[in-house]
Amino acid sequence: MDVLRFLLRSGRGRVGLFLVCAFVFVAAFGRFLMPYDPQAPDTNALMTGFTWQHLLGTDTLGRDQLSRILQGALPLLEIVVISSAVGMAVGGALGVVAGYTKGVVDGLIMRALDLLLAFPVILMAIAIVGFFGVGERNVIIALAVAFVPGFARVARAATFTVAKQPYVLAARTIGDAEPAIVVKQVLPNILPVMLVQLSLVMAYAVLIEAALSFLGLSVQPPVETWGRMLADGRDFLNVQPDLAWVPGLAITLVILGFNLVGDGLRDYLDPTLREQVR
Amino acid sequence: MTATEQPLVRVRDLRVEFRTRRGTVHAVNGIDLDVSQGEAVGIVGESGSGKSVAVMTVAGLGDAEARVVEGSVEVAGIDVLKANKRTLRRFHGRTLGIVFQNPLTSLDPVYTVGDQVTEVLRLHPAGKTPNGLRALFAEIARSMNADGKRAYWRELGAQLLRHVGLPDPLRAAESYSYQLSGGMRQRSMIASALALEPRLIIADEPTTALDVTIQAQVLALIDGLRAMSGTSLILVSHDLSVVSQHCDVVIVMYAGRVVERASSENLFREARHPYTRGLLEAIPQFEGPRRPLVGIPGAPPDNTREVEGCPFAPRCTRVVDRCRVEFPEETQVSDGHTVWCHNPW
Repeated sequence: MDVLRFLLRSGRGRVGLFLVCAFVFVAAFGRFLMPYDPQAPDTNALMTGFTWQHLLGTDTLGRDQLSRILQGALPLLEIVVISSAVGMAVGGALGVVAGYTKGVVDGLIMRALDLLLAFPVILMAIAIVGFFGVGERNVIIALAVAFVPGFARVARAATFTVAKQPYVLAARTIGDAEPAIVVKQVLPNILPVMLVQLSLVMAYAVLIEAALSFLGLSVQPPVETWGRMLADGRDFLNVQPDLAWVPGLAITLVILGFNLVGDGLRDYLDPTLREQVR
Repeated sequence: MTATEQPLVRVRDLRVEFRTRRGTVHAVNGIDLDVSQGEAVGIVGESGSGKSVAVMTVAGLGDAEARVVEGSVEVAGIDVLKANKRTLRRFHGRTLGIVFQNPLTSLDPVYTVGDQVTEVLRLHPAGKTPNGLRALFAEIARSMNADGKRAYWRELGAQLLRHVGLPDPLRAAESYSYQLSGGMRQRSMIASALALEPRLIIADEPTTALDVTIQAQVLALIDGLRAMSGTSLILVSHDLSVVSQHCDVVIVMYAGRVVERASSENLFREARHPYTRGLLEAIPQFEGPRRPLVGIPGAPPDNTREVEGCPFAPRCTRVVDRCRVEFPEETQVSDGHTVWCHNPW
């Protein structure tokens, strides 16, 4: 809870926390707040622009943009949270094992992950989705796989540092077993660094999901996604630019939110900065 | 110590090497060490003399890179170098207590100090605590619910901290290490090391990171606790005066070898080895006539090369030809005072 208080102390932290909370709220309760059925066309109200009936306007088929945005938040949140959580668990475990055992095991794990790291994330995601087929589950798998090497690198480096700390030796001197030391000393001490990586990866996940949606590779209709709304609006930039910039802005704000929270977490972990803000 | 009594620690001809990129570092080049029950042995030497490597090997906590080439280490009847992991863990928890140089980083920042000093009790449920505390509480603890257990451990942690003289131990037990001062942290480390009344304490430069005033307090604390429980002590330091005040026997190490062993009084009064003399002359004196402070010229040898003869020969003022070709045999100068030198004072 110290972290929350710290985040709330700085302006950036407050904004970031607000954006992330707003996104989670919209994702959780959006479907109860939708004024219209997001899929229902209305030929009497095509591309209305912002009006009192349609706060964010309607698209070329007369579908309510606000309802579509509200609906698109949930699949995005699911994809972002699950893929980065799985990536952190798998990558973290591999990284800790590599960093703690060193030697041959370390070499094998890290070289295998370097192989994954050699492909741009977006390219690999496209390849995996292309191979297993489109859809939310496969996008989650693709992103999780893509995030594993990053988490593993961070966890490995942090484990190196922690394993050298005297308190690890101290745990050994009171007769603690190695696996117990990993669980009790290493994991809690690398957790803060992993959380920073997590927040950055989540921002990245939003971006990649949007890109995949834009390409039509992510969640399929009838469920909306922001990336597809952006793609739909692209053809009407001259006539009705808000069809493109509204979902674009939504994506931007969510990414900004995760990044600001990540920045705040990093400041929190740097004791010198922590004292300054206090 | 009588001749028939088996010493608690018995080290014979210990040699430890490190394989590094620069070549093989000969850290410890054949040392013998005996510590009997209740005895305090000090090891002095400058940085790189192998004293830390030697005691960590005795503790069975050698670095992954350290290789014991030769020798045997026996502590409380356990062959430390050959013991399996289970035996070693038991040995670490219950026979041995270690206090490290840097109290600032020896405590895990994510746990409360109370949790950490009682951890050794959780790991070794069969070990006994000072004053029979554990036995007193064990029965009650077994029947407790989660809240009761938490209170029990907190109380036990506070008791251990009170034992090492921490003011307001209940609050200290609930603090995190960064909330305590260096001296308090070192006391907490001592509380943890002594929680199960080990038979041997190894203190590796326990006061180097502390203020001089706190230094004296911490060492006095170790002395006091030892007096109560009859625990043996190996105190490693580069400070000859600290060691001689708190130890019965002092061992002087140079370049991975023992060069002189004597009782504390003897060492100060009649040091025989030129290196020990040099160390003593480098200590400022406040009594008696003023004299210039004398250093030892030169630097310790490069321990990646195997030294023929006495490693101190290049810096020695009393060097003779034999010094450069063979390491001197052990010479007994008086009862309990031995020196390894061809041309002692």
